[in-house]
Amino acid sequence: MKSKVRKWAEQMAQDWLEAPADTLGAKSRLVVLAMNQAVIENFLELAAFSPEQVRILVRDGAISIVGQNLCIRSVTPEELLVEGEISQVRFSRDTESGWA
Amino acid sequence: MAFFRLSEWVKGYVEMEVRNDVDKNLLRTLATNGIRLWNARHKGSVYTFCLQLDDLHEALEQARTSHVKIRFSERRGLPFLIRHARKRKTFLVGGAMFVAVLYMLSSFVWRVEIVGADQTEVVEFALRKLNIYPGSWLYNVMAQDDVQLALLEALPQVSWVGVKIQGTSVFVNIIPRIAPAKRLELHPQNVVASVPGVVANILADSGQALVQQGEYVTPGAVLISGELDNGKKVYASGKVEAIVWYRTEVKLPLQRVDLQYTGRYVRHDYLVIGQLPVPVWGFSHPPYALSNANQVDEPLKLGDYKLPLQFRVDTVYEVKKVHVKLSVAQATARGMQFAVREVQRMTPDGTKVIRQNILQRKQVRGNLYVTVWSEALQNIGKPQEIPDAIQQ
Repeated sequence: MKSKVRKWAEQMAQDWLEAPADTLGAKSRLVVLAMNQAVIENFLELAAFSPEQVRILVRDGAISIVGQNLCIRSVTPEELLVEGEISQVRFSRDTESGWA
Repeated sequence: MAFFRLSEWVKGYVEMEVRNDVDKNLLRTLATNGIRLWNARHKGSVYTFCLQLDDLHEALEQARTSHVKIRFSERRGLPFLIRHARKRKTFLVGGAMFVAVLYMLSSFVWRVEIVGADQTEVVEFALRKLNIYPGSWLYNVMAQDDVQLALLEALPQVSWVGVKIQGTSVFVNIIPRIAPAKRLELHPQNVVASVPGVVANILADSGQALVQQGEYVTPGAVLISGELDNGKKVYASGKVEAIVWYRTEVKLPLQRVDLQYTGRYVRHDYLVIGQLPVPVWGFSHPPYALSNANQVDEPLKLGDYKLPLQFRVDTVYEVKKVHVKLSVAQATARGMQFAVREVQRMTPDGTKVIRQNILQRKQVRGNLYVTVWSEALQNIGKPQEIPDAIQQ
């Protein structure tokens, strides 16, 4: 119920106040820099970590960063920085593992 | 890959090496629980990551529950450095020694600088008595103002002393007292005539005037006597003015060549670099038969700093020869002026030429020869010691 109200409020703010979507609530954001750095803000969980793949759960699903020699440069409660030779970024709307 | 941040270094951090953790359970749990960690990477079958010392407790708890093996591959930061230093006693002793030696060395006077003294040794000696010399114990030294007063008392030939004790250096600024002018020792003396003349007026400051106005005196004649009537001998002084005659012979050319500016000139500007003048403006060189150059150098400055550059303005003026003819009367007047100057050169300051006469005038090969007779009013007095006074 609460999340429904929140969703409605966010929608209204976006439509009527033209507020940018990324400023509203706990929306996750993925920034890929020069194909060797990826920053994920507002992540929920680190699901898997190997040199070839880093899988991160976010609110709406999961983000998989695929590449070679991947490492996690830093983790803070707000963001996660992945570094390495990134070749693919995959998204999956697998809401059951996320927070709906 | 130094992932270095100051706060992390101060708090201390460890690099963990995790074995037997195929699913990366430990890393995933810690990351999901919002614990700061960094530099997570794989090394073959194991993986490593860095963690702050504050979060180590929680990490160890998690490791125990998930049955993974942990090894600390690196320990970095201030807490480890301190623990390390504690183990090495000599290191601590060295640190303490350093502080002690520094403290000890800073309790000596290292430098005494004396400015403005004519004789530095005198001031140094006075300072030594006040326990101030290079190598003296700083705690024996009085307060700055007391040193100043004591030094002023110890040195009578000094009018002001400024003492500044700055750390281990003592700066002494001295302004020497300027001695009053020494009084000349006065031997009894007479005032005698130096040249022959007729006394015009006589004014005795001390002593007794022996001549009167209008009296003719020869060189060596006593004008003001230092021997008084009562037998006392004094230092006679005064002013005796007399009329003295001089004869001057002057040779004057009646024709003279002067150089006169025609009004035409050219200006050359140069930039002088070191010694080398580089022309900047004005390149014409008109064919002046005779010229007179005027050179003005202006040093270039940048603030107070003098650059090795000069701006030179070279002005070349055209001049021409002009023949000037003097009349006999003009030449004579000039000759009389020469005579005045000649008389003033030979006599003491303040001599006035009262009267002049032309004794002879002749013209030979364009030159005028004039003999001038000048009457001068001059001081003829000259001091002469009374010989008896020295013998007594």
